[in-house]
Amino acid sequence: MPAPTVRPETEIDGSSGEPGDRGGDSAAGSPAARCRHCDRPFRSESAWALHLGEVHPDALSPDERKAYEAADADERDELFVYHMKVVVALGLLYAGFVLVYMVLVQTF
Amino acid sequence: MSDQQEVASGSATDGRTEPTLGGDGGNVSSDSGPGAPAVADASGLAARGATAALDRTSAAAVRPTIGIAVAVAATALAATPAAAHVGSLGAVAGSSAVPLWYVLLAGGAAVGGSFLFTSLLTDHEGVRMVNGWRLPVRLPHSALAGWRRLLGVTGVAVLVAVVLSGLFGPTDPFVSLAVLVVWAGWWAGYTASTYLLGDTWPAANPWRTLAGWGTRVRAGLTGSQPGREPAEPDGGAADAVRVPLVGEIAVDPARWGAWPSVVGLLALVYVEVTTPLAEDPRLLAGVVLAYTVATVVGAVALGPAVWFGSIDPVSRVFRWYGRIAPFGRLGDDVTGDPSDDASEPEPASAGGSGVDPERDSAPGTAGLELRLPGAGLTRLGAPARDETAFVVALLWATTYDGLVSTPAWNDLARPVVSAGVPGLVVYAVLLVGGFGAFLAVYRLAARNARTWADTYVTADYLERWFVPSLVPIAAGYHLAHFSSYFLTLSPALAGVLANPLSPPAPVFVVVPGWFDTIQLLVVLLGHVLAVWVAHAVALDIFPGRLRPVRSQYPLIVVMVVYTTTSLWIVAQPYVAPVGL
Repeated sequence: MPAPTVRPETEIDGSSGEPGDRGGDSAAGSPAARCRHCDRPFRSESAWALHLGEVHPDALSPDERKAYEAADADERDELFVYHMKVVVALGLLYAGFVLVYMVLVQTF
Repeated sequence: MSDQQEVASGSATDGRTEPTLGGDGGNVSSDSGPGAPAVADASGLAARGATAALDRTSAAAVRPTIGIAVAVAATALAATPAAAHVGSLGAVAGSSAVPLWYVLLAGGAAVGGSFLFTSLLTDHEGVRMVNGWRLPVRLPHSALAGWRRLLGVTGVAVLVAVVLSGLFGPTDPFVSLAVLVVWAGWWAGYTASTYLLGDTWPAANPWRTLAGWGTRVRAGLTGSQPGREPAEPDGGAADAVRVPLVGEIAVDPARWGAWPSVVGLLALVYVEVTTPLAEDPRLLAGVVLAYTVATVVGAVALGPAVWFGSIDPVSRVFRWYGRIAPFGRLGDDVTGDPSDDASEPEPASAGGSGVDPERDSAPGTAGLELRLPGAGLTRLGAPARDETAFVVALLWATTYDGLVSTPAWNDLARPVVSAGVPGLVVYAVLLVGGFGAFLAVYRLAARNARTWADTYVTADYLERWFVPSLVPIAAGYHLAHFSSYFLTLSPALAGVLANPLSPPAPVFVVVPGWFDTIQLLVVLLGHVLAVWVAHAVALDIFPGRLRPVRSQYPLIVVMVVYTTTSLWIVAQPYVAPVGL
């Protein structure tokens, strides 16, 4: 397997005037956090911590590791809920189409 | 161009006639012989189709065959320009016993559903591993070079044959080598090979071969060395090019980016839609000749690498399609991955040296890789900005081709044309306006993706980052539209190739009815692959697992809308475009 390509978010804007910039959870121009390895800014601490753990796993300080593990655990929980919703949505989608089709078959 | 044609009436003419070979169809239908069974068979199918739920598309339920094309031609008795490479998918929606809205809904839901499925796969490493999987196939360099040379010579021979046959051969499109080779052989069959197998166009491209010879001749005349063109690879300096009869002109292809090919692609589609290019061998030969002159002169002046890398639209189409293919050149994606630092990515292909990188690869890199379909698209990084415009143009071209022959468009256009606006203007406005609208919608999606992902990455960058995911959609439609066309015409094509000087009476294959379902599946497969590519590249740019998933929402909405719209378009009965 090739080494994972690090693909930095190369275009950084800190200004609020950028189209699509909704301000986020930090003041315009001052990111919540910035990666010390690749200088990328993040709108939230959790995104920063996840980035560190995923892109620079071998260069974490103990504090950063702790932050990553916490963010990862948080996201794991969030993801579980999200996936529950996804499974329900898939089920409904499937059931809905089967039902509609059955109705159709009777109608036509 | 024929006069304004009314909506073809009568069941047979309602059929979506995929083969464009309608023009002189009248004489073919009188051929008893191999063509006749096809007609008979088709009308049998029509009878069956008439009982289908959708009366409106009853005849569209007929698998489009040459038989149908013949019937259409015999009834409408006029060239149906671009009768179009739109599709046989009318047949899909029509032949199924379910109403159109259900087909559309199911199509959209299949795309949305596949997004839901991919959202369950959130392991960055795992997804990257799947797409990074490659099986190197190392080949002796001499074998590759020989293969390339063979393809190159074959390409030139085919080009010469097409032009000669188009100019001096039969005018009946069904036995015209030019028409059959260009449309069935090349645009249907060969194009499919670029995304199903691999992009061989850099080697097979006859214009590239000619330009290579031309460059050598030019170097011999001027005494300069080929491969030492004065262009700056980083696109810094403008390059003064001496054009015969014109003098020195300053051109800076690197600055144009992909825009020349965007314009070129739209122009080609426009010509294809507004002229009977697929029925008239003489016209076809003229267009091919014009394209040849423009391409060879341009490529010799600017260097083949610049011309075929950034200006020629056809090469760019095949290059994008080739990234879907399971076979690629080993290490090709390295040149296309500009994202290793913060620098603005180069249009990798627009480098200006006279050497032709796609052809003259270093001996060490000789080899192919086997990879998963679409994996090549996930390794690109962010393509240059105007590549976005090109990919969107590719998508829009497919849609435009179909849209102009829908009743809805014709109802819209008829008053305008009656009011005295020339048809050519109306169609040009639609072409440019629709392209602009497609681009705007995609840009809007990218802006929204930025919000959903809660990121500092600019919308502009995301726009480029996600654009490879649109390519499989275009390829899926291409395959769906052209597979039955190709199969139907392949015996005629083979006959004409086996005996170019006196081609046998054309034989057509009647594609079985279940093929409709395959086509529908192919369209959906294209979209599913698109969803997968979008998912993979999203995981590659955003941290965590939820941000990448959420970032795809706007794009998925666009894809669902696009699926539904396109299925609707191809399900419409064929109407000869008004005003042409």
